[in-house]
Amino acid sequence: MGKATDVVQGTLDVLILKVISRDPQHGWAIAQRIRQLSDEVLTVQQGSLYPALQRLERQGWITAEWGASENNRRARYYKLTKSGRKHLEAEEQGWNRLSNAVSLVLRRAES
Amino acid sequence: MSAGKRLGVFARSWFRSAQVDQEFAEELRFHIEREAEANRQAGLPPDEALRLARVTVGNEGVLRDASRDSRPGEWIRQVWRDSGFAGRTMRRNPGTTASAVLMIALGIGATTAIFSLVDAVLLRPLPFPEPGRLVHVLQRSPRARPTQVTLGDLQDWVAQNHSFAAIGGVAAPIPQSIGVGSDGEAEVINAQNVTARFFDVLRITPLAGRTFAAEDVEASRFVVISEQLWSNHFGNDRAIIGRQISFAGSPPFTVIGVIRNRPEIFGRADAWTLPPASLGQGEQSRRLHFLDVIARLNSATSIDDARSEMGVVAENTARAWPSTNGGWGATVDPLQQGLVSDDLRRTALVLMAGVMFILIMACGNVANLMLARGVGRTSEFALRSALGATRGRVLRQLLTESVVLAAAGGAAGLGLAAVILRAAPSLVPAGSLPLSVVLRLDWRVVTFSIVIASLAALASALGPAWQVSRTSLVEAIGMGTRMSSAHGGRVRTMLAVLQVAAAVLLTTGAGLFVRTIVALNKVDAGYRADRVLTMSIGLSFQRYAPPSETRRFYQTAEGEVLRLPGVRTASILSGDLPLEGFTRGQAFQVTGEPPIDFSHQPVAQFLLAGARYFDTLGIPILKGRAFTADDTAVSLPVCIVSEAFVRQYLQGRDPLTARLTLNSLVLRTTDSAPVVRQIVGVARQFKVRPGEAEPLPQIYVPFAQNPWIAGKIVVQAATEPEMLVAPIKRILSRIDSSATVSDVRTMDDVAQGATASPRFRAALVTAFASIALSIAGVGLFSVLSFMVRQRAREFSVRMALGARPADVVKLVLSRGATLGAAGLAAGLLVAVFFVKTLSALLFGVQPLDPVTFAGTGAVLAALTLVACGAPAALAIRSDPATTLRQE
Repeated sequence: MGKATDVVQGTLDVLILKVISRDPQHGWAIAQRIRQLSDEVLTVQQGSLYPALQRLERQGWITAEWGASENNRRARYYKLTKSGRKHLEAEEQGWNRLSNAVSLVLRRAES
Repeated sequence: MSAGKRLGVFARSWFRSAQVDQEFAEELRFHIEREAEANRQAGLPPDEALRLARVTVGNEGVLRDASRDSRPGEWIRQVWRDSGFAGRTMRRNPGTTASAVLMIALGIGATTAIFSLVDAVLLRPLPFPEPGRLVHVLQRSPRARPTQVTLGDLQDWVAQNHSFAAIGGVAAPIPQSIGVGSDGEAEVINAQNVTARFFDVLRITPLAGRTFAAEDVEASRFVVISEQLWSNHFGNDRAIIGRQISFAGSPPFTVIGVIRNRPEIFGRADAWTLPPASLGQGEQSRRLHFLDVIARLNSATSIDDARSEMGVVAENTARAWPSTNGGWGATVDPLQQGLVSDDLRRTALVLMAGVMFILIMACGNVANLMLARGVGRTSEFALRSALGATRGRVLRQLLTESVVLAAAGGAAGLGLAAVILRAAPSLVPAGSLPLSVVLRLDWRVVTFSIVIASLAALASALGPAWQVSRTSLVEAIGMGTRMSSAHGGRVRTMLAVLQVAAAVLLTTGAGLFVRTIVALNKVDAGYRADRVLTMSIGLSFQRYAPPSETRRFYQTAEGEVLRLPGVRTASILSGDLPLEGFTRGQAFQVTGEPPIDFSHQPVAQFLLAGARYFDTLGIPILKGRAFTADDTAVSLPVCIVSEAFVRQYLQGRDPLTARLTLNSLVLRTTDSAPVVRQIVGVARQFKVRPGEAEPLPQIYVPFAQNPWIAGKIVVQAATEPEMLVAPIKRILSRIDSSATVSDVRTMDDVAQGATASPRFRAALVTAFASIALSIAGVGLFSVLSFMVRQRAREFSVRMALGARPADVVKLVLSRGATLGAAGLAAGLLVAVFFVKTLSALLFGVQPLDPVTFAGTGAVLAALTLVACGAPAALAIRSDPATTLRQE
């Protein structure tokens, strides 16, 4: 495993949206999921996570409500809104195009 | 998201901030617990699991602040909180706060007051529609002197030009008495001759009735009156149109219109009539230059187009009237420029520069105060940083404090400016401001002072901000206050040197202006007149059209005034008094020399004087004789000339054998014919202005031989001249109740008036310099005291090792002298370049005047000594034992 990398500002938003796209999640779980899904490469600092969540909420892409957690505590759950889903799709497509393009360049420039 | 929802989120985070905070805290708490639980599941002991979770999550306060920062509208809340904090900080340091606010208030008050002058003189457009298209048109004499315009020439211009949408001429205002008021005294107003399109040029529209039309003629005796006259004299009666009003001694006029804002350019008047048509007919009329001409450029015409067209028009006129117009041209200049003298324009700029220096110095002092306080607050800022405040956050707090200071200072400054401007009319010498220049606190001036206050806030926050950004947390905490104060000390030293330099600059300027006044006061104006009273008299043109009537009025008046008790001697004069300027010239020719066309004849100052005039004003007759009672209307025409006249025109011959050919001053141009006059005397040259460059040739003619309607009574009193005013006025109104009296002054007043502008300038710049010097002194003092406090330990060690107090004093003095000398050198260096721009405003002193520069050096040396005094005393009074124990 490589060294853990801070998630780059901007990509964090799309990762959060993706992680909560199927089920609503609370903050801790979002950070955990991003770490696990990235094979422990990406870590999310709390100092970035919560401002990002508030930013997304303000933009209307997610909503938050209080619910019971897996250990039966009161936790704040974040859920994707309709406009958030649309935004996620657009971002995902853009990201795929970009990463394909980057890997193309990397591959072809070698040969 | 819809706007409504967005507003909802905003409102929630803004109005229910506490709840949002609480929810966020709960969310974080859950996060930490969940993290700790995960750590426990990974096999850590409970304590360690919780500690690790806390470390991972980080500083809760920082997170909360970050969360707050991301909320909408949060910055407003923070600024509000910062201002509250700034207010509390300021209340805790009332001394510092008061002096800072006072500094800013002084700076802004003075700057704002001077700006209102600059604005009125240079910036504010004239109060007429499209003022940029208004121009001032004058005739240009063959000697390239701009001269007022004759009615004949104006008529030619109207007929021939294509550059102007309208042209109008205006003559000087003349006092007229209209009817009798309720108090039984005749009311005197000013009336002006204007040509028909004058009001159209300015686009002044009537409040009632109409203004003049091009086809109106003088013979129809129409008058336009001002709103002021309408309401004061006629009670705003709409039925005024068509009514007749009469000026004493003349046939009545019919009112055709009332105008709202009277145009206060070229004098102030309340009634306007057309000039007599005879003034525009025949060749003789082309010698009577009495109109200021204004015109409105066509929208497609530039001022250069107008200049070249007027050049062609003037050439046409010169061909048609070679004897009066040969060699004459025309000048076209923006009207605003024509109304404000170069002298006033320069003065305004010099004062603005001076006051800006004061403001900059005041800001420097405020920065200094803030820096000094900043040293004491290093630990406060360090603590804030440790608690998670970012550098930007600390800087914002500093800026907020400055803004609060500047807002308080700015408000006080505006108040101060209002007070200054209210007092200004009595401080600014009469006549030095054109009528169109009104000093007031309007939105332009207020906007200016707000901008200046904001800049002041920024400037005074810069120093402390620099200090904070230079100081690292480690330094501040690890090394106490020593390190950071060294930074601040350097900035403050630089500020003090800059302040000294600015004070040097202003002191040099003040010195030059004061030396100018001294030189002006030493000027011998060519007359000796103690206790001399003068007053101007106005008579009705109609009643006094025959010269014999005018002669009789003035001779009767002169005779009765002479018999008044307390009058030593008295005389009539028509023309300019010494030091009163040059307003009346007359073309002449030395008889017997080859004839010159009138248009190219030289011009001399023209004075119509009574027999006792030379005696009354103490103007000695150097050769020949003065006028006598035997010089009458029917005796040999004679004249007296001045020294400069002899030098310029009668070189190498006996002046008493020469004769001059010149026209007399007459009301009806048809009466005008050249008169040959024998020179019977040479009078001492008198000065027209104290600082005049070239003496003006002067010609005196006996008043009896050329009576003129506008005259002055000049009286030498045996005792108090003021006591004669009322008796003389009684005499005049007994002879003719419609006669008006104005400009009652002593010759001392006239002389004072002649130096009023330079004195005003010197007084203001000297005041600025004194303020600048005291600010610089305070700056030096605070830097030196600071140094003494900082080096108290070193001084104590020295004294403990046997240094005498004198040695310590020497240390302080040498430090002060270094700073003072650095400031002096910098200031003088800049001054050498700066003073050149003042040369047009100086008299009898060179810009690089050694006395002024040496004097500035001496003042600075004294100031430095004074500023060193208290710190030096502090240095030797400190007890070594105490100081050493403190550290």
